[in-house]
Amino acid sequence: MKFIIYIPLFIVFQLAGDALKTFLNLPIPSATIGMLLLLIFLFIIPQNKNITNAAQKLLLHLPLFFIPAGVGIMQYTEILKQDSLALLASVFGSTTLCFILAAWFTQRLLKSEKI
Amino acid sequence: MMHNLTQNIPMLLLALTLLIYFISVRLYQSSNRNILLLPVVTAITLMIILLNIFDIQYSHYFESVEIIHFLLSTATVALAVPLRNHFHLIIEHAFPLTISLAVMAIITPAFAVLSAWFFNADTTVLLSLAPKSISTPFAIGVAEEIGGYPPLVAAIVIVTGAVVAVISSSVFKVFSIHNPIAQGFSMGLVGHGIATATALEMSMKTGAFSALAMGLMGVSTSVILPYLVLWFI
Repeated sequence: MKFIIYIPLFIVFQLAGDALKTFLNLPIPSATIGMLLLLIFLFIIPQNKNITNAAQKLLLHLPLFFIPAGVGIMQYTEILKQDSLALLASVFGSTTLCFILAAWFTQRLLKSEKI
Repeated sequence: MMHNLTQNIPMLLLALTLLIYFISVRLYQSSNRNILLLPVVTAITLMIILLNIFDIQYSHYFESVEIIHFLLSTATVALAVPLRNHFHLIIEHAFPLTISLAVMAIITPAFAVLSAWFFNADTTVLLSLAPKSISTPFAIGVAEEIGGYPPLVAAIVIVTGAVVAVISSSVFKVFSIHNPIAQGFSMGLVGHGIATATALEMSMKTGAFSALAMGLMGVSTSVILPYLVLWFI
């Protein structure tokens, strides 16, 4: 149960990221800034099993946190219908192609590094 | 009585979302992790159907479940933990990963736009497709910058992430991608947060590299894309 007290820690860094973004007017999303701040913090403190545990527990439910934004698709069915062929080609076709390319290329680069 | 009921609708929607998520996860687990039953896809689909049946507006739904949306940023911040735990590996492979990122940050938006251009999509749609492989907050910022339509971008981004999550294990099998670093990195490069959720399911190491790629791709695409667009149009 000790992990539960670390969830507020993540929220503190999330809010710090938000504040820093507003203060410096950065073009980077606040969650990413919060992530970078936490990363720096994790290098300062000794490695802690409870923090790892807390992150694991939270990240296990990452799909849940996408639901509110994802349901937003329902508003744009009209636009999606208009250019459906182009959208399908891009969202399915080019995504698949790029993903295969990225996976193959990254593995290839990692292999050549060993030689 | 009726008045009380309508007042409680936000709480009901919150409870319903959690219930649907629970059912979707159970369905996925009992199907032996059949990727076509990916929880995020099932849950979003079911929720849209229910909102349509009960004629509830999206804005009303979003307000009710905003706390869940808030936790998306919290979880994003928590991605720093697997990054910290695998940092030695990131440094060790910094060179190949940087090359892969640099190439994919140009190819991915270019392919996204070209494939739709081939089917005569209008300019707004083309520009909305360009940032489809980066996580929503980045993508919306870029869309505003280059002249895409932000709400459409959000929808495109989520579907793109789901496509990567669904095809990932088959692609790894067919193309013999066995290296967890390559697996995670490519998932994050093309499928951002939604694919990262699936990568975390494979292992914390795969998830860490997916999170890394997602962050790097978000930053580099939002810097490169506005220039790339100027060059093409």
